Amino acid sequence: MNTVELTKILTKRFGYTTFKPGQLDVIQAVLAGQDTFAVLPTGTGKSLCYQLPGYAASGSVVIVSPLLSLMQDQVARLHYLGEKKVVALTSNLTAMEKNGVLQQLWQYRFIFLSPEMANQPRVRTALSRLKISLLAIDEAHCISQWGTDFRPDYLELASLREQLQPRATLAMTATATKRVQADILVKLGLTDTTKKVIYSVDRPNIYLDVQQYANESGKEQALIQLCRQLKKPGIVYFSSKQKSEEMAYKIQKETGIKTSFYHGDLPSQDRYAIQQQFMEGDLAIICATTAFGMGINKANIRFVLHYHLASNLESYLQEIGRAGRDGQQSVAILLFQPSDIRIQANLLASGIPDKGLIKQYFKNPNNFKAMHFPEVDLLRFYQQHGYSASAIQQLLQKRQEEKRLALGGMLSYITTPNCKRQFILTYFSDHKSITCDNYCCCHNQAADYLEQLDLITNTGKQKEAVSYVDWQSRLKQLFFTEY
Amino acid sequence: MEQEDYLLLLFDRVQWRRSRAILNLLKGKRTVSNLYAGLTYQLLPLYQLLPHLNDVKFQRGLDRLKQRGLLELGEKRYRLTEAGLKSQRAFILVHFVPRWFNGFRQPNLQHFMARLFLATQVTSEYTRHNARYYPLEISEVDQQAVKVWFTQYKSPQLGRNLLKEWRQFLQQLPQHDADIYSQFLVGYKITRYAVPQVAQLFKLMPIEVALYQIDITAHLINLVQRTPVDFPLLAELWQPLAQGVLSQSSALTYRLALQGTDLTKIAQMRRLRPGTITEHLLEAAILTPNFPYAAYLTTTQRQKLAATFSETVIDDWQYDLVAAQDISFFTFRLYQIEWRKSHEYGGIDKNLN
Ligand SMILES: [Zn+2]
Repeated sequence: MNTVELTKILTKRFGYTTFKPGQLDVIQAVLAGQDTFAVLPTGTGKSLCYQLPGYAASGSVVIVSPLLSLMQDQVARLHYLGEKKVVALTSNLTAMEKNGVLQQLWQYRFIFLSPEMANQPRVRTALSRLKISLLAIDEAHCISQWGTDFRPDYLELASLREQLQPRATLAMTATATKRVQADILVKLGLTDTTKKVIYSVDRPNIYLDVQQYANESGKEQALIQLCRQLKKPGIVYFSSKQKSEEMAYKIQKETGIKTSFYHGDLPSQDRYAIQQQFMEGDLAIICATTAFGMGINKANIRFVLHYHLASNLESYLQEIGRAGRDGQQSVAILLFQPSDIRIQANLLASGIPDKGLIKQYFKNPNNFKAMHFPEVDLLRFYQQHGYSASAIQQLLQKRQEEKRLALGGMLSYITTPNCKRQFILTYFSDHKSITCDNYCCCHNQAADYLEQLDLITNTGKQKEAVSYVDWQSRLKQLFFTEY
Repeated sequence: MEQEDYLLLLFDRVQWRRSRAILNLLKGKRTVSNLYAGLTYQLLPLYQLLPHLNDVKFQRGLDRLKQRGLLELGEKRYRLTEAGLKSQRAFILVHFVPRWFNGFRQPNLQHFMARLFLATQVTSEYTRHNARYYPLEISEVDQQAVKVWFTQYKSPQLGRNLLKEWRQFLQQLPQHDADIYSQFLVGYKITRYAVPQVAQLFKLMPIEVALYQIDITAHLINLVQRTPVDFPLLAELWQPLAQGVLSQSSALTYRLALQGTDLTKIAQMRRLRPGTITEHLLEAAILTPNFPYAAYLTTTQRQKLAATFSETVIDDWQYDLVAAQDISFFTFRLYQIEWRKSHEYGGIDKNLN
């Protein structure tokens, strides 16, 4: 299909008139039946690369995605665009709903599922009956054992590919080191003829800043001050749910800026509400855990602050990548105080079974049959794939080591006295050449850098905090009526 | 006041209560033993009040109340302390307590609520001819049900008609309550608030807001059931969710039993274990009025039971004491249910001992 035809679809279905860098390359390749590997930075419309082919070719598009929240966001986004033939095969479906979906699978244009779901025999059988125009692997770095978010079920994707025989396969990620990139190709069984579309991870319109504080209260004050000053909307990321709630209340109370929190413990109806308010501009700041914003498509986010550091640079780039999708100047500020390292170090060990558990498990796996938490699931997976206890032990130790290294990368980013942007580029073996100027990063930073970047809000008095309208007016608004 | 203080309402100063049974009841786990506990504790209407209640948080709440000296624990059962009773009384005066909710009269309330808000959203957007919006994320079944409803009623008058029904409903409520409830409505260019936000706006606790939401929905279901002609659109939305007090299987057994069919015969006809049949009857005895006790309790059995337990508080009746006297557990439990239902406070001894 030529560019004009594709642009027509782009406008009709998605409301855009031009493609972003990389999109057209990827779309044309997969439509020509070519397996493709795409590294496109977050915030540049990766999802369009598999969405648009759904309208340009017959057959279904199957998207393998690592996170439930990510799938939900993508489904919601497609619903918004008026697409009804979309489904997410998730654990949220009741058995009856799932049966219904599997029987009618052919009628969906977009099918989202996790690698774990794709490995269920019943699901595979249903999928193999379909004509699949595109198999898309989102967040493909999860397939690599060198990647920081490795998930064992991703290892089965090569066999899935073989069984489904899609017209084309598309592996996508926003950030991957050279080693991870090579590993992704091998693990998916993709050959050297695979088309590679690789763009720089750099997002030039996001200014990179790291601020260090002596203690927690200093950091809290700084956060509140930044929220007051900065142009909005913005996101503040936390690694603790409780802290996100606490700070959301504090910010709102002290600044009067409409702020709310968002994390995985909120019931889905509340999560929906908060996302919508943010999208519609009713909320200016969200204090969130990483559960927020995977698929958030809000173009004008001016700042992403990190109250706690991310566990690795990959995640950090993903998170700050939600800023400035409209191309306007934005800022990412990481607030750091020494004891923050402890939080991350504790998180490192979570989810990874220790020696004792491995030994217990292998002594009698049946005792663990009914248990479903990450550590045991991981052991079960490896055991079923013929790994011995000692092999697993070794493998996990290596994983732990990888994670520690990745955290080390994050810490080096924080402490490097040199250009932060250059640090990131080097870390990802990205050869883009940049100049470290006033729009780059906190290296040689002027005191009034936020003014220079024009990121200081000029509305003197902030709007009063949330209020509500009575039910009579609300009904009138809803049904648009004068009577 | 803390959120956990709501849990005080589930306990009594005199009666020792099993927290597990109460938790199961709130979550809507339908077993005869949970239902019987509900009857015993006078908490039956709370069946299925909070289907998503978190076990760990529930237990943590009880632990804290115990630490604060408001609950006491003995043999896995709790009761209020004197201070706990005082707190409970004070709490009721200033906090919202559900008035209309009854898990047996409004089954499927959560589904109805999901459908109600989605149907309203779809209608609002449709009124403004807008197709690009984020529909509320609710379960597949509920989405389908709303789709069916919408296809049936789609017309230029739909907005006006649905508005009329909403008005009719909300104006029956106190302004404050209707305002709270309407904050959850979504539609064209109108976002809804999350529960913690509504709590902040109205200076309530989040759990209190959730209870308002549930209780007001229960009220709506009652109205829709009582006068469907006043709410044709909402009644149609409710209709597929309506069901009787008994589970379908129990209802069938009970109907056969009322026709005089012998229990063994019913078990054969229904290809069920006799134990299941007696469970069905116990469920009917607990949940429905006018159960024909006389058909299953002979005078001799009653006399034996009365003689054995005349000196004992009903909560302490032990089946073991009559097991040897040719009394089945079914007979024992049925007698107990009848006794509770015919005495004030479910036969709870209100004197501390
Ligand atoms: Zn720089």
